[in-house]
Amino acid sequence: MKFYAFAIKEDLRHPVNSLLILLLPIPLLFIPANAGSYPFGISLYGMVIMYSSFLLSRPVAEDRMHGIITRIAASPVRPFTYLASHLLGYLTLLGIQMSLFMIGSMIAHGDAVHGRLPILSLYLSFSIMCLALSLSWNTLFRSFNISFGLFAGLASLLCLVGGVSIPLFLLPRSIIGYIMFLPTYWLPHGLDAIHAGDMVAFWQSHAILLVFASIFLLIGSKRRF
Amino acid sequence: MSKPRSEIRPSGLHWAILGIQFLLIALLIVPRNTAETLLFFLCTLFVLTLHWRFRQPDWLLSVLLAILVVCSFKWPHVTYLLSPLLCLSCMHNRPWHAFFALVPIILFGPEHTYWLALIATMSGYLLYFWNRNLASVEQQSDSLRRRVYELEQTEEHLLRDQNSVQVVSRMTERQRIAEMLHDNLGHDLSAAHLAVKATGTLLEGKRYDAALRSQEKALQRLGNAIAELRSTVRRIEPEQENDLDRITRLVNSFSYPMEFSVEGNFSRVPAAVGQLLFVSMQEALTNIIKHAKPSLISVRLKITQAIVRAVIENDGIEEHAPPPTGSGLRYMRKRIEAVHGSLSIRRENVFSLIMIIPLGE
Repeated sequence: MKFYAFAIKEDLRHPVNSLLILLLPIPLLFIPANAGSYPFGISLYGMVIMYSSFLLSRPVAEDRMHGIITRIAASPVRPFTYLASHLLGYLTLLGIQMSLFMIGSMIAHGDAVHGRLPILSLYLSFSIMCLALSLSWNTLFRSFNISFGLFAGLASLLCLVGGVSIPLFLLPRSIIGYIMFLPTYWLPHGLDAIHAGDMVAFWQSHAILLVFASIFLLIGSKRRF
Repeated sequence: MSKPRSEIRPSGLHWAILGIQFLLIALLIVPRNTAETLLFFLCTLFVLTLHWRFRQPDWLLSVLLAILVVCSFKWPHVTYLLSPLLCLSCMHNRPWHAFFALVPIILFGPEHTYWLALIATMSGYLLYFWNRNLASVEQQSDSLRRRVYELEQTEEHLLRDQNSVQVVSRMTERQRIAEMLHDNLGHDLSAAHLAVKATGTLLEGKRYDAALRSQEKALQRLGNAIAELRSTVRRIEPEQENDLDRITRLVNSFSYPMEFSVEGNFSRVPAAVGQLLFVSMQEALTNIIKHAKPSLISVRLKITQAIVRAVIENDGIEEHAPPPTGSGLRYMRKRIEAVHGSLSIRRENVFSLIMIIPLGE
């Protein structure tokens, strides 16, 4: 519990993070809706989740890069407790951001956005996947700035090709088989499924996002000093 | 400290092979990719990652194999995912697992699955044999390392025992000398001492004739004692040639041109140190014959109050000869260090071997 509270406090100590959580999603609420789908901001919010989760997970990455993790490993704290508490802390902050975004969408779009609870649950699975991806991505680098610079490019590409920043129906059918291997594909796919009322596809998106998250967590939680 | 060279091992390579297999499977399932197929793909990847990360028990892989075998009845594309498990089964030499993975591939698998299965089986068994061979080599290497360690321990014990034997033999020799001096000189010296005392008493009593007789007796006793002392010393002295003679003979027996010089009193060198010096010089000169082509060998001995220093130089260094690391030098160094001495090697225009051995008490 101490680590959980500490993780939240450590993130909120930086004003940029508070602004990120509160202000960044607001412009997305004003993007108008396409015919036969949710307002585009609902899907584009996936990109905000991606960047937010990467920036929020910075303390864990810096603990490893600055060698603090070696001291933690020598202390009686279990690595699982340390990692789980931190990730839960970041997930809580992302949960607050998501809830605020959903409240904002209720105000901005009214009844145009239906099935808010399934959308929120899909965002939750997506943010778990993004946190796990950030964790495993950071293990590849020794400097957070290089890691962030390259992640910015990767995230933009994943969102662009995966249908987060471009509606899925605009992507050619021939590449769908390939982009299904990208974790970002399953957020817009799930959102389309909720809009169309296809609950099987919705649960499939959930399952695939969570399996992606598990794989990334297994890779990212490997101790590297 | 240099970084150890990384080497390819079967345990690392099999994950690379599994990665390539997953890539091939991904390319094969792309045209007919569905959420179900991808879910199977990711679940298989997840279990194998779990296996890599935590060394999960084998039953987890068996459960995954059973699920994939059952599901391949309904979804033939799932058979693609059996090939990584087939590779793992072959690598751990589990023929029954491999058989259960092969049956659905043969029965329901699409065309490319056969090739994947063939690659998986071959790479799996190649890795298995490689791993077995490597384990055997490592076991042999460990056994040899243990043997070397045991030999080093034995050598250390022997050196320690040698020192103890030296101390004991020195004490025994002292006792022998003490016994000989007591038996052969003690009586005469005591009698001479008493006679001198009696002479003094007689002189005080002004009995000059008696005093002269007593003095004569004392002189006779002292003369006997001196003769006995000479005789005893002759008996104590070693009959064989001394260490300097042996070293001189060793140096002179060499066919190469030699320069030999001794500075200081060699009789100060204890027998044990002389023996060590002789053996070490013998080893050093043999090494010169084996590894160098000198035109002149110089051997210099210097004996001071506390140490004896031996410098052996030769000008026959071979250009591409490796640095001396043989066991002869190693044993020489150990023997010298066991008596708190030192051995150093200098390799400049000439090859110099410098031994410094303390003379002890």
